[in-house]
Amino acid sequence: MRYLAILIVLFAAPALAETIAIVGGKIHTATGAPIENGTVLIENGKITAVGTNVQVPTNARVINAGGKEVTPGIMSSSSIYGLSEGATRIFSSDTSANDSGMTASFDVKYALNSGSVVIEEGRRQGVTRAVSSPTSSGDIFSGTSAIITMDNKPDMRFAEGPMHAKFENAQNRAVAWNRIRAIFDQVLDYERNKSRVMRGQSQDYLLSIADMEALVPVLKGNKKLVIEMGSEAEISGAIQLKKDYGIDIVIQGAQEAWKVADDLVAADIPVIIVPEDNLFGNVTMAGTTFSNAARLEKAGVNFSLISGNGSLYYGHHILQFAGMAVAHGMSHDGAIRSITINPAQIFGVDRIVGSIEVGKDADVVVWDGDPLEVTSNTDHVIIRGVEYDLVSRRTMLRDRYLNLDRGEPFGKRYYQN
Amino acid sequence: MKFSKFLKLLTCVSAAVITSAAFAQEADNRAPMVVIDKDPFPSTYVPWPSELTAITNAHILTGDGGEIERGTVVMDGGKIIAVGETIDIPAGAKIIDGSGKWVTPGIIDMHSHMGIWTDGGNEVKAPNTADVWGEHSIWPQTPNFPAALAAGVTTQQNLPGSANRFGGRGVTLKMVPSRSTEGMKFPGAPYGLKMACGENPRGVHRSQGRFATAMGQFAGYRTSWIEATDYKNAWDKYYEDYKAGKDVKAPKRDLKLETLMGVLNGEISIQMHCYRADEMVDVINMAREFHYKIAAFHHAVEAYKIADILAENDICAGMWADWWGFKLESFDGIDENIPMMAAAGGCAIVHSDSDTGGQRLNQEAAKAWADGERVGLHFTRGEVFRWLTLNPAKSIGLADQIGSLEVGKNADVVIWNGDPLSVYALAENVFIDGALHYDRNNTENQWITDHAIGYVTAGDHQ
Repeated sequence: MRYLAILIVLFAAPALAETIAIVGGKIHTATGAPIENGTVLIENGKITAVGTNVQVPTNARVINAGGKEVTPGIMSSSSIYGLSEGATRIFSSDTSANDSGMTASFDVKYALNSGSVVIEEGRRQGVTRAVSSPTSSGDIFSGTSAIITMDNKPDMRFAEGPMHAKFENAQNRAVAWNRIRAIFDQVLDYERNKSRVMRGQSQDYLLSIADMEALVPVLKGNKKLVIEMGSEAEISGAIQLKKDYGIDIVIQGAQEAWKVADDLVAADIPVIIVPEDNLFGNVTMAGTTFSNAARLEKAGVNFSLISGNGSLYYGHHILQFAGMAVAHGMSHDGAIRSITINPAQIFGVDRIVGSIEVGKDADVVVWDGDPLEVTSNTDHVIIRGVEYDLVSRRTMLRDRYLNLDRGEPFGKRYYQN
Repeated sequence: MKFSKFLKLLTCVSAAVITSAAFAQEADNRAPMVVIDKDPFPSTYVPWPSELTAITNAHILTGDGGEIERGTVVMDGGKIIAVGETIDIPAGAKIIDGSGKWVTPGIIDMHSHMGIWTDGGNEVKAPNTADVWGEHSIWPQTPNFPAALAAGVTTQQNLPGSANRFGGRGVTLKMVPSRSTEGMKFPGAPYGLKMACGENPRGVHRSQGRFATAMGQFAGYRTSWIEATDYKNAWDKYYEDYKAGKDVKAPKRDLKLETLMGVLNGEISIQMHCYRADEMVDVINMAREFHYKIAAFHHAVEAYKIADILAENDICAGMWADWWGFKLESFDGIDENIPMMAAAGGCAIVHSDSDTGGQRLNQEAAKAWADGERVGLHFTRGEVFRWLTLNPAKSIGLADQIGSLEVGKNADVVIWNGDPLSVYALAENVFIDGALHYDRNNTENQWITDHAIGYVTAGDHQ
């Protein structure tokens, strides 16, 4: 899968990318300590130099980042960017198999909409890459996600995503485990007996051939499985599942991950958490806490932070939620990593993006203050070496109504009380 | 059969209650005048014991727009008794050194379903359920109330959901532990009636085979207001005739129409869920047609398009800082909505509609503030805090008691460990009526509800 990712990105290199030097900012590289008063040099879409002693070429356009902060582009580990322009009614929503009968074989890649204004909005707020994930199919397995660049280009999908599953889509926890294991056993049986299956000499399977075919790479360990689940008991079950089937698991939600943090480290299972989660979930998941991130960091679990799944307004929230994790004990550097390099690692694209390091794609954001502070905003957003205007449909609406006294059709002139 | 018998029984019981509640008239042969008890479920809240306390050297945002960079707040008997830069601290006062801390009024969330969600939140049985009283679905043991308190929220208006045109009455609660809902109710708080326009009632009513369009909804609202006007006229006439000495029979009680009559009489405020500017303007015209007042639009994601109209009509707008795009009617939501409403001189409010969002209303205000700054709409921190305290207090009819640190008002006070308009700030101490209800540094002062006990210990969710 990783080879595929790299191949796609080579073809997708931007045609025109200028030389840009971002000078004087505090650089959060996401791999080392922040660099004060540093420079990031961008050439041909790549980062070519980082540090305090960078020679700025004469042809470079200089962005003065004095007093500002610089981060890698933010990567959202869970989104529906490019799959929906609005969650309901007349807008198209291509986020799920939607009880069509497909489960694991559903793949969002065919539906990605490069004209999405929602992508434009996320980009304006500093999100430069995202996992566009399938939402619930109606069954446990939801299908395959796409890893996209937030540039509204037709080739924005630059890597294949993992398989996604939603634990709570079973009738109960016991059904979920039995069903997942039965399906896995059947996929293995199918894989061993494919020719017989094709001749029609097979047992009845729980899933269709297409759905099982989609799960083969998961069971071969070639494709990650992201399971949404939350409680300690569920997470422990997933750790056992990984041992029993040798699959590569990521746990999303993971509200009680802190309770089994050491086991997660031992099993090398990363998690994706929502730092706003702190409410008593139910009587089997009472341990939800704002301190999940801080405790996972302390235990050494690899994790990324998200701001929720399935809705559209969350670009800015990722930074805010990372800030909330810091307010509740996580390190500031760790919080930045958890929305940049950690998701890149978890989704296998860290050789391409996720940090400000020489050789990586130039996804760089300049902030007017501490990027995790709610009062901060983006000043410059650069993706693959191309700077984008901080304009979206929403800023256009704002500008239309900002001055109601101006007498234009959208002002007061045409309104009489 | 059984049900109708039950109804008859119920009618007898309620009639008896009414009669006994009616006050005696001069001796005549007429039945006593029927007076409907407007507060049959009165608050039983009693403030906790408090002591004379002075918070000194703190950075104070007074909630009515004011800011004191280094000052003192004094509370006694559950009330604010002094606020200012230089205050003579009364003898015997307990002193809390607020150096490095920030002090604000308690945050008021004018749109929450926290206590109602566990019961479903919506009574979808009919388009008009104005007979429903949200307080009867409040579960005082929901584990989420303590989380709101720990976030500096001291008062919440809990509302029925938006599945129908008239959702029912809301209830204003203090974030205090109690065995009953009555024990949480804000004493004397006026009732609000939840109404809704837009996609939610349209969608629900469509699925029920009822009016499925906005034009249908307006036909429904207006029909109800016509009935309510007739009902009010009938009661007004009854009282007029009775007082004139006539032997008249009281109109039949109708819970639905009683609530709507309360609105027409100015006793119950309208709290109306409306996203789109054009629908809000229609609703304003409907309120003019039937002579009632709209206190606030909730979820007014397009308030910025009509901020001047809302300001002129003295209608508050409860808003999210940046929610948008989760349905068609929220697609035009912008990050500058709140500051644009405030800049027009309107009553701008940050609300939650969310048990998680309701724990960071201060951050939401800060986001909106910063986004306004970027387009030239400047507000001081003091002015911004008004969006969280005095303006929501106004929208729920309690601005004379809460929402600002003014002498004589309730001592609902939060001490923050830093600038509350920062993502890193946490509420350290929360006082309600002068009594310490939350202390981040002392688990003895942290509330666990009955439902959560045995599953969590104090502070677990933080």
